[in-house]
Amino acid sequence: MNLIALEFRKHRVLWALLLLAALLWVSWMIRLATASSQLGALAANMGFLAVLAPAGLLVPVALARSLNSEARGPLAFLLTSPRSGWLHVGIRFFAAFIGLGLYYALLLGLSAWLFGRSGVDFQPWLAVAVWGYGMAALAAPTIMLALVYGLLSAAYRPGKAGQIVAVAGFFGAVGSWSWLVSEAMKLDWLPLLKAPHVVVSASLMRYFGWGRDSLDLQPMFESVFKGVPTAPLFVGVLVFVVFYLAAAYIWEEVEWA
Amino acid sequence: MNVFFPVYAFDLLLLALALWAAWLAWTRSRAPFIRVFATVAALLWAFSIAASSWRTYKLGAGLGTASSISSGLTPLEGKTRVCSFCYSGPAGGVYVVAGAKMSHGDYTISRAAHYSLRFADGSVRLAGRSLEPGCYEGDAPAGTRVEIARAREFRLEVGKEASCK
Repeated sequence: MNLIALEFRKHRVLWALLLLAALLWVSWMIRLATASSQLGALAANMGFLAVLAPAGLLVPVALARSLNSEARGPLAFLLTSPRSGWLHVGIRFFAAFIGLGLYYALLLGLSAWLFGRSGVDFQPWLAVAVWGYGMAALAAPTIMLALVYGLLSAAYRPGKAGQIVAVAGFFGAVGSWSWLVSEAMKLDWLPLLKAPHVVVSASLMRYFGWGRDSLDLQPMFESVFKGVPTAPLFVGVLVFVVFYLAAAYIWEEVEWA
Repeated sequence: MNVFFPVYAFDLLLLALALWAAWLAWTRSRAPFIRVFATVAALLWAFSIAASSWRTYKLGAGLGTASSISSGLTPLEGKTRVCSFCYSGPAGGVYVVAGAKMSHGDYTISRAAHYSLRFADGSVRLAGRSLEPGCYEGDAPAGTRVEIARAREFRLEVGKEASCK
């Protein structure tokens, strides 16, 4: 528990800023949605999501930077603690994953609420499913990749080789990850999830001039994609496990002090 | 000149960086796991750069006529001295020379190919014969010359899919 608290404390400015941005945005959206037009709130929401969702990338960046600076700084001897590399890497990952998970849960929850109020009907579990899919397929491997980057760039001290090696290693990892996803998408024995029913209400359809009746997006989606692929999910978990192993091994091998 | 030359040059630069990184990763470490992991990762990057370069090459080879643009041999050779809003290069399944206003242009179709030639106004000669404004489609033998004294809305397509439609 101490270790997790320490992780959050180390990046307290970043976490505080993310929390502040998210809370400001939530309160503003709730005010917009309850006081003025639903659709205006939805449009503002989509615009801000385009800024707030990528802002989560700052977390892996901060993780990689802090690993690098801790290994170079005067407190480098603290890294040679008797705790194992597995625990060190695991805690850093876990803290970032929890924080990002809460952040994206807030973003997705509010968006789902706004969509629901504007006349788009879907099952409540859909928001949870999207959150879980994104966290497992995208967030977890990305955080682990940032840790591997930071560890690699710190591992080749002294000298400047670390940055070059870390950049090449990072792109190699990203390249193999995307190759794995594109290959796994071709495997037909991986299950396809059924596309969810998302029904745009008749009033919304009339408002935009798309038609008179309510529209279910599921048949449209399924006519193009057949279903939601699970390949990115499995590959994301695989990439996460492989990079967790790699990061822990690197931590154990590096002479930090 | 190969149209993809800048892409290849950039790929070559990245490839050099990746291979340098692999060399550094192997020589600057004595820790066995990190050494192997970092070298393999850098080589994977080098491999993905090479693969993307190969895809670029295939893209170039599939364009225009059967001749490969990537080998440096475009199906059309030549240039226009004065040209506004011009494009010359691959476009879909054909190789195109097009411009809103062109003058003093001279092109040679370097190998036998299907072509289409369209212009709205001006004087253009195809294989020494003066053309009226309009659209012409046909098969040109190697060495066919297209001379543009001046032309408006000119578009010359070379390749199997060239057409006046």
